[in-house]
Amino acid sequence: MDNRYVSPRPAHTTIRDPQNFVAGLILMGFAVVGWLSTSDLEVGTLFSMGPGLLPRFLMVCLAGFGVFLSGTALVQDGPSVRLSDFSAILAIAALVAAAVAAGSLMGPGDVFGLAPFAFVFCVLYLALMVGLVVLSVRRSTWLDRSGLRGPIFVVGGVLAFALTVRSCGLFVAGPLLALISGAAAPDTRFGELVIFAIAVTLLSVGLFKYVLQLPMPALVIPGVIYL
Amino acid sequence: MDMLANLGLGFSTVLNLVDIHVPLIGIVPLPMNILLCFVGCLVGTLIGVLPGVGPIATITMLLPITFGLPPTGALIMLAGIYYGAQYGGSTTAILVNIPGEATSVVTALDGHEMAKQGRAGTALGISALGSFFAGCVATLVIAALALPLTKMALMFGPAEYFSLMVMGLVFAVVLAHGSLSKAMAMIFMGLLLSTVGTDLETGQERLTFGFAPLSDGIDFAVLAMGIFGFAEVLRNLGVDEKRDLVSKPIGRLLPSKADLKQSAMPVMRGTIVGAILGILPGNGAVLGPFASYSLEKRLAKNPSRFGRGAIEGVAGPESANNAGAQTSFIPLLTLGVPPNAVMALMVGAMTIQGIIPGPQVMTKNPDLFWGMITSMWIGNLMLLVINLPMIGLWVRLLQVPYRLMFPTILVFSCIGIYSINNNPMDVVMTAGFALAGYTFIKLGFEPAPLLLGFVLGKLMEDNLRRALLMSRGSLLGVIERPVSAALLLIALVVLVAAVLPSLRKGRDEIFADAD
Repeated sequence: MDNRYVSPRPAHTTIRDPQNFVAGLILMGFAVVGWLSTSDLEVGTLFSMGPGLLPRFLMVCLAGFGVFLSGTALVQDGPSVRLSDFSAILAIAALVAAAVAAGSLMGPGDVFGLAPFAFVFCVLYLALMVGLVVLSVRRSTWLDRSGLRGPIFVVGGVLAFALTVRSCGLFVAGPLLALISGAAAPDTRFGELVIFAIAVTLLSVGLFKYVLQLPMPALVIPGVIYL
Repeated sequence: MDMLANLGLGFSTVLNLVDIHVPLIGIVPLPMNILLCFVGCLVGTLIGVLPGVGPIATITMLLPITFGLPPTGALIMLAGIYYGAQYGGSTTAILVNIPGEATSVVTALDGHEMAKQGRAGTALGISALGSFFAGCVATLVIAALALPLTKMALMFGPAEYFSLMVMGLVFAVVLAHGSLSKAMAMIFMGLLLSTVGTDLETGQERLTFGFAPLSDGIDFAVLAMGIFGFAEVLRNLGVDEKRDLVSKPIGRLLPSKADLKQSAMPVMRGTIVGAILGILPGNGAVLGPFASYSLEKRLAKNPSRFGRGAIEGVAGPESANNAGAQTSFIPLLTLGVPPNAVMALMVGAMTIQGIIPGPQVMTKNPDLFWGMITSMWIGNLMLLVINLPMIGLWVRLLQVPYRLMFPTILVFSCIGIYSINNNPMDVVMTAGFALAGYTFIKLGFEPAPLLLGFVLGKLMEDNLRRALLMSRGSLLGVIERPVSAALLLIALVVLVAAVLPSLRKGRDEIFADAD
């Protein structure tokens, strides 16, 4: 509800509810992509349902809602959309696309245990985060306005966790996640965050590994230690 | 009395002593289930009290800590977490004016005003007492309705189940807060996500885009954590947080005689309204507090007091909230059909524990069934006993800045997600769903119907296919059976009525009273 404040708009604009218009387009996009990807599935009949019947039925419905939302957006006033709300997902989508393209050029074979496109993606993502860190050190106000800061660092932290948890253990993955994602807050303080990252990691290792006895490595140094 | 015998079985399950090996002391008989209920209530409140974290996010975050427990204990603990989270949400609403979810929006109206007048203690006290009363009544309602409803459910075939779930989804849309078409679109999106993965009958992969981790389907916990836990973090990071933490003293916790007298009837009415709405197959529990608030406002001699710290405006909705939270277990426990997103989470938790929700739970695992019901009452009692004395701690917790809170949430959640399958890919997929969920929120979609659709989608396709198989593939088989046809007819009537302008206006008015 807090996302739907209506601002008065001049009557001559064609799209009077940009939020619903974009929402509708996205639903239609989902339906089209889904439709294309299920083209090899047998739809069957109502007498013998194929695996493709239900997904395709749902996609028609989704497309219907999409048309409805976009259509009503032309006649009803609604909230506007801000690019900063979607800048992060667009940036990440662009990185994924670039990584897939580069990965297909690199040929088969894993790089550091990752598929080629995943490796390229990680490198690009790291570069993006470094760029944002440089901006934040320079106290750029653009960074906070762009809407990139929150999602990029949170997702970056989670990715770092996923990359290290199995090969290095929780004692590496936990602080990495806390430190990287901690940079997402506009009022972050480095010293405080370091102490906090260590404390949270100790607490969670104690809780998950020792109290709840979940099987996951606490610290791995290949060939030396496996806790 | 069957009911008393059953409740007795429940109490004996909850109070059951288990020999536990405690380091340094040796083997000690401990009432494990009570302890789990206690811990659940405590950590549920602990997380639920954090501003901006609602019950759904709390349960998803704490789901992994129940994985290692036996099923009965795990579900008792989850129920405790749920009540704790609800109560924590009310505390935040009263003290900081940040409602964690739709239901505590109402509490924040008059509760926060009371807090500003230095009567926060009374508001918290009456909401705890009202919730306890509502919890007692709701427990009895559940115990009374469980047997007949389960008997009815045992007569249901796949066709009836399918129709029941269709009706549930229609109710969920109609009772949802906000745009009808957007809620429906989210449900269909959830249904669509549930079809991702290998088709059970033909073994063909559907909608996996050749991506191997998707061939087992989307993991329920991954989806829930992504669109609720992480997406909420992203959303909160984007808001300039203004914590309106009251500086006034909390004041006395126990309401005075005059307060009690003033709130007795609102509590009663709230309990009844909440309990009835909670049983509805849609998300009735959310409507309860709103309905109770507008009822109290209409009955009041001086309605202008509402919004300026009227104690009835806290007592009624809080009771309705708790009663609804509890009676919404009824469709889940007896029919196996989750009425809302929280119950959809419970379905996920039960499935992870190897229990298929439905009428057979009561016959096959009577101790689990009745243990869970009695644990609800015990959980309510515990909330009353532990939360009021600990209010100082919760207030201190509310002062922790968000920049430290969210990394903690992320670390715990990531470890939890990883622990489900020991698969880092799950963590990456959670991040993906978080981005998608965040985008949906920014486009004005509510993610809760998506989760409900996702959980119901699997059950629905399964039942529909079985129904079609039984009627030799004819869709008429679903319509020919009288009960099934009746359910579908109700769904249709409700849907048509909801689209009609006059009824929509009535629905909007109930919500608008709280604005």
